[in-house]
Amino acid sequence: MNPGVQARDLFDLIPCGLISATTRGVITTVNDTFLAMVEKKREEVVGHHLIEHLTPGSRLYFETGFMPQLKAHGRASEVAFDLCLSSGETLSVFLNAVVDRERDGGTILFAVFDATLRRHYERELLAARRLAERSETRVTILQTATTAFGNAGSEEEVAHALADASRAATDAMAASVYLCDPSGGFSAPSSSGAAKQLVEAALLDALGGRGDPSPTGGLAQSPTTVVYSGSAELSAHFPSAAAALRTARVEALATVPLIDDGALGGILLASFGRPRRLDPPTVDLLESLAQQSVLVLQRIRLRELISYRSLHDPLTGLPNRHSLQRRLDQLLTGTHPNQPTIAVLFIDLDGFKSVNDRFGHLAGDSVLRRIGASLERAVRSGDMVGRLGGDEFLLICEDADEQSAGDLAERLRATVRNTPLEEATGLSVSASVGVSIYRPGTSPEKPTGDALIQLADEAMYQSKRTGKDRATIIRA
Amino acid sequence: MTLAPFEGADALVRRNNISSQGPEGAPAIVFGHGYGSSRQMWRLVAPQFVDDHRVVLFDHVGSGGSDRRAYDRGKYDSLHGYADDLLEICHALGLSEIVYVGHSVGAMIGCLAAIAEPTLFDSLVLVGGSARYINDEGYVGGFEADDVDALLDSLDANYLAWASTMAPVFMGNSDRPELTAELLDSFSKADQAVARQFARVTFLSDLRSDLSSVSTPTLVVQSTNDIVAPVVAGEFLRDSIPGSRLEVLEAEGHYVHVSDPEKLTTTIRSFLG
Repeated sequence: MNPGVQARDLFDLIPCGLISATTRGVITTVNDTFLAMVEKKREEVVGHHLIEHLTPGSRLYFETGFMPQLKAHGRASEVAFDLCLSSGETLSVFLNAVVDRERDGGTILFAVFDATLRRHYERELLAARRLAERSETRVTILQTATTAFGNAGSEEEVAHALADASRAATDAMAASVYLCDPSGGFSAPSSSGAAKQLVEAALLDALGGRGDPSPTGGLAQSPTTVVYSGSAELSAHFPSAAAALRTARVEALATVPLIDDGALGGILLASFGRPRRLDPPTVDLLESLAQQSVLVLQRIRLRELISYRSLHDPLTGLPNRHSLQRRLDQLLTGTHPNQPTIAVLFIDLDGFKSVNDRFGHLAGDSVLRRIGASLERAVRSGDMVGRLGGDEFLLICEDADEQSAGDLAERLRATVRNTPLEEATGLSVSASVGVSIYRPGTSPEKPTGDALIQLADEAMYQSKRTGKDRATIIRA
Repeated sequence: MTLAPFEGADALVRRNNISSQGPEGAPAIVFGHGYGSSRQMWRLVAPQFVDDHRVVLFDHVGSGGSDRRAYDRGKYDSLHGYADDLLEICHALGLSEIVYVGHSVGAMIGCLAAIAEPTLFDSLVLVGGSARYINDEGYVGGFEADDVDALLDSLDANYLAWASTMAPVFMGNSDRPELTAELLDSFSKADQAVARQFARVTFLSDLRSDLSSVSTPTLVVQSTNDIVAPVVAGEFLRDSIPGSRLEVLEAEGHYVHVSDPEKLTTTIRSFLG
């Protein structure tokens, strides 16, 4: 037996493809097994690039993944590729490679194994793993968002949490949340990433805003998620914003409405720096996040409403007794000898009972609202005017000495007298005012807020007793 | 070698693994690598310029020896994020009248940077670039969208092979031999995610409509046997970038800077004049 022939047989018959190639990948030797694998003749293979036998996707990986690594590390094992067969079918293989730098100025030796069954199995595993990773990512994003929403104490913080979560969910260049404000516009955005507010403003404008009641009013009419996946689509939908989009390098955009009780409560904009499509699970995730944020916004608004109501008089909208007392206590807590004087003005309407008696309580309420609004306009900024109840109002002034408190009392009396009473024509209402003044450091005992109010009340009675429509001042 | 004329340059040097060599005050030449590689790929070309140029090499964030902690998925979801980094590097090193040589997607990153700040650049050399890899109506990029999906599949399918190749690299580069297998695994997983995203950004970007805005003198270099960026991709770049020239090199493959460094060096030098 000739051992050379035997080795040659082994080379050709061994159940794996064997190839030698130049360092640039041009095939120099190939065994019969490989030719059988790719269903090609020797002359179709030798002298050609190995890459020519790969599917386009495998070519990309070969050039950008495999070859750079092989060149850097000299060897590679069990790398998966797909070969193109003459029949048009593909064959999955594993490839081992080693670089022999000495031989013929550098040679790459390849061993190729049919891996059809294993690759099929691996593809299933891979699909399952991707699904699992995807679910895991989704859960993480939702959990992180839920925590952030839970910690949010204001609408702005909720909007920020939504922007952050949306960016994490989509890898967006920037995500911004615009909440609808009561005036019919949008609030300043809460953004995550490098948001470009100019282009976003242009987009919102082009979307028709929310104030447009016409059926053509873009969003106002059809609040659904829209993904504009490329520059052409974007400029077709937003011709007026096209230049701004280009400058801001936005090449794709997703708009997700925040639906609050069937109405638009805000909008989420996620912008991308390259053409992007969002697959249904991602859109679904964005919508879940948006919906979750709406629930949190509702909770926060309710809390703010409760807090507002607990501090305000429902009839006039002015601070109520509770907030007046709180304010006074705050002022007194900080008091030290150099602190300014505090004045408390107790205002009781004269002749209000006749309004109620003659024109009814609705007219009386209306008069109280009107006078409340006039008083609020008449006081200095920083002073607090509120309603104690009935026809009693209270003004708390920081930094008002006897002289200026007296002036203020006169101004309030004039204000009340001059408030037009359309609901109670023919009647006139005036005010009896009582003022208590406390100058820190003048008395050894610091008075309480209640005591100051009580004192002002007594002063007011003094005004009533001495003929009404006048002011009396008492020093604490 | 001096760096850091600006505050914050040190941080950038770490983030982008920047090296700078060559005489102070010499014309600056910056090399930008492509997808799937690192600044190492310029090892045969860059030294040819060190005598008469200030040669700057760097790794894109997420590649090579860059600081992985700087990888922000939103920022690097488009080539603009990388272009911003390139501009930051040029400013931080105080470079001007820059010759930028970019390979593959690194070439396209250079185009975006030169559009954003044309005054910073003297000239562009685009090696194996492509404005868009996916075929489109009336445009040949060389690939279909499915092929990019197949590439992503390959990245995943070859995760094990890849991780076992890269593991010694991580270990070798690390001053911390106590790195556990677990830690290593988490590193490679993070890198795998970066590689997937960079692949998407590279192969799904479309810069066709940007190219007419390039005002920097540009040389397009394409090699005859490049399956990633075929010669037609180079012709498209030449036809779209005003005043640009195309040089087709008889060379093998996508990595002409590795397969034929002398030819590429000569081509760049004759373009620079």
